[in-house]
Amino acid sequence: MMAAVSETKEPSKAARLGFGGVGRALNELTIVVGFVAISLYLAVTTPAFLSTANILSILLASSLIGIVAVGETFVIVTSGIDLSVGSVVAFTGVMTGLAIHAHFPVPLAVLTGIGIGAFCGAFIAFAITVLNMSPFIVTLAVLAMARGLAFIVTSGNTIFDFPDSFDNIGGGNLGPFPIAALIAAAVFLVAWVVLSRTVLGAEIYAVGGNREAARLAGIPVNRTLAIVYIISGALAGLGGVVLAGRLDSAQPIAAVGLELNAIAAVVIGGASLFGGKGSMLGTLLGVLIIGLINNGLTLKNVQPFWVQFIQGAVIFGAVLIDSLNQKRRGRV
Amino acid sequence: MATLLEMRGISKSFPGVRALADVSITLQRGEVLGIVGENGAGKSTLMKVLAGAYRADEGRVLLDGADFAPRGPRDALDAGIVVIHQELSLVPDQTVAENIYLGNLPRNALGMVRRALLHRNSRALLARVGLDIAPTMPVRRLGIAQQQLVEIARALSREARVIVMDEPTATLTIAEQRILFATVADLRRAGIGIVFISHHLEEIFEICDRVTVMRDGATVATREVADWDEAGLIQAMVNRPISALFPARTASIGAPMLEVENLSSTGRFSGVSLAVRAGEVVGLGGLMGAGRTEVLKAIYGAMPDTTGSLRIGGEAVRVRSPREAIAAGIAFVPEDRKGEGLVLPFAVRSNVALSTLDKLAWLRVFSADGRTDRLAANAVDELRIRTPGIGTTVGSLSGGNQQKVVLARALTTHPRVFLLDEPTRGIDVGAKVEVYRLIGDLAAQGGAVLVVSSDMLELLGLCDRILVMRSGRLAGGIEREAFCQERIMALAALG
Repeated sequence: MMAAVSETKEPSKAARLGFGGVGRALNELTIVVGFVAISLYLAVTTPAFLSTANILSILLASSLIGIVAVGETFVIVTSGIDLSVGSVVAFTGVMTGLAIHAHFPVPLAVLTGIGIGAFCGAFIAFAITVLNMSPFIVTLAVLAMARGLAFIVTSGNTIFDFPDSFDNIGGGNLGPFPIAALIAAAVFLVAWVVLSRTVLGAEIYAVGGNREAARLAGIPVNRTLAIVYIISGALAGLGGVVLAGRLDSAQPIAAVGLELNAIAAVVIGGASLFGGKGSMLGTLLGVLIIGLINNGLTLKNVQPFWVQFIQGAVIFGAVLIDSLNQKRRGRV
Repeated sequence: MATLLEMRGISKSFPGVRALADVSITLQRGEVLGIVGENGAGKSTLMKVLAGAYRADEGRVLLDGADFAPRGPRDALDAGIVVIHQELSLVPDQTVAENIYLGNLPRNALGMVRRALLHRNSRALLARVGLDIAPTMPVRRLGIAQQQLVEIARALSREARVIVMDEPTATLTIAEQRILFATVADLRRAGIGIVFISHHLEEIFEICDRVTVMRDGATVATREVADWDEAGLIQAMVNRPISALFPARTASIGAPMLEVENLSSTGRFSGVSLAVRAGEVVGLGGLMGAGRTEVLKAIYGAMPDTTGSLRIGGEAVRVRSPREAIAAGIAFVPEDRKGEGLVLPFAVRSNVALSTLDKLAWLRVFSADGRTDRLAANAVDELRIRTPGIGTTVGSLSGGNQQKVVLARALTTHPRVFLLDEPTRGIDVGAKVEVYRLIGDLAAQGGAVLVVSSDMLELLGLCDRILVMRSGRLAGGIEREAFCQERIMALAALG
């Protein structure tokens, strides 16, 4: 019997649902319906919506949130949270800018930005796994620290005047497509493979689903947590590079509140803040829904003051749905 | 004693199932009647008929000699029949007094709540159940046992004649259980009839006057408690002799497989040295809190601040984490199945694969669904896990089948040392037997099994040797030939 539990026999035609919980497919369908509904509404009511230029601008505007939301998805599935990403985008952006001004070749400057982001993630991971601090508090602290560092290293000034080869990363096009959107698409593709098709992905779900059970089952919980925060930091670094390129400048006040957009996208995409549940496809849809809402508000000339309020209301609604789902499953 | 309650010839069917077939019980004034049986034997259905939640298809209920046919729970309450469920029904944010008189608050002519009277009456009721707390305390701040006593006080406030307790001790500590039992004794003296449902046979023997055994929706036997013994009771519950519950101890015992030297963990236990040989099942007995669980976790590398040395199959190993323990050939099945054993919202297949994610993967990186499915399907087959499929959420399975999933997951790492913490807690007798058989098979194949259990019969039936712990130390050991319940209890409690 000891050797009994090993693989020798064909399985019954069982459902492919496993990690991330049963019912995920249904969830994603709901999001798709929401996405299609918003698109239809905008297409019918605003003629400019369906123009190629507008759609490409939605993609460009969504690429930064998308890159950051990918990292946030990994973190949230482990039942953590990363509030620092907006500040890390700003900090890595100005550091990349400083590197270019220090005559770093562009590829090296880009790697510097990503590397500093990864270092911020590693610092967060150290505090969470070794010092046993809570993700919320640690990343809140890093939110302030990274923002502060961005001001310190620039003395509060904007850094500008970058070579075209750098600006193209954020603002250029490849054929009709914005390069930033292509980068985001590649990030999503790789992240989708990692989360749904690899051992690391399965471990991330398990750690978020029940950390103690995962630990006792032999899953390296701390290593898994460290990896997700480092990924999140590195992607925020990539986001900083993309943003600096798009604006042809790096500002210490860039990307304020970006973490809220990213978290909203992840939660709209069906992930649970209680952990163990979520998917990259859902997050992609969540990012696009937020892009659509922002675009629609602009096209319809809604006062900018309202934009922030509506974004907040969307986050509230998404978290409310998450909480109600939890209650129905009796896990609160 | 006078007959207080009689249920006569009760039958109840649900579509496709005959839940109760001609069931009869009687309850005297001032009597505690135990009802035991496996899950699905019909205990809860019978009590729901009594409480007015279900209506019987056939049969009569007589309360104090008069026909009693409740049309709903309200009728039963009004007649003085109160059921205290496992899940308590108190309102956490209201005070103790308000909960006792929930839906029944004393009012004056203007409809205002008479606070002074409410609190005076509540104090009297709390005193009757031996609870020394202020009636104005919010229920949220009470422990589970205290909440249970508040429920009993509520029952008394309604002038209960019959109190049904459904698995009341499932979540209690031993100290809390003592308080509950003292209160039950008081209620008995006051002439209230009590129906006591429990899986824990020791409790049945301690507190009941008579015991009714149910099986497959029928009453098998009712006797005075003195005319039962534990083995006879189990036999009546499962319909086979007790010796057949446990696998025959045929394994040939070999060289030491697990050797623990001077294991200590600050504030938990100290100086624990033990050895388990290949093919041997060793029990670790003792009272709750004696440090048994902690010893297993320490061996498994899951307990911080542990010192001591470990040898597996004669070779010294260092185990600093569960991951290293698994690599060294150790498997651990935790006591808290839902909190530590399973990821409840995940499918059966994911839970089975949890310890072998990297081994199942292609190049140790990419998930291999086919292999995972085969592993899970095999586990379901071999351990006879009753589940609609390997894609079913593990949280929706019964306790026994959940436990088999945990065991299956532990087996996937091909361990040689098995640390099992209360492997049959809270599962029905049928599933217990299957777990016993599995443990026997593991030993027969040369595994070394160290099992913690609070079930004396289980330790005696299953083990080749029993070690007893008392307040963080090993108090002694007994070989199978010398097994004796009294000696184990003596070691556990006195030394």
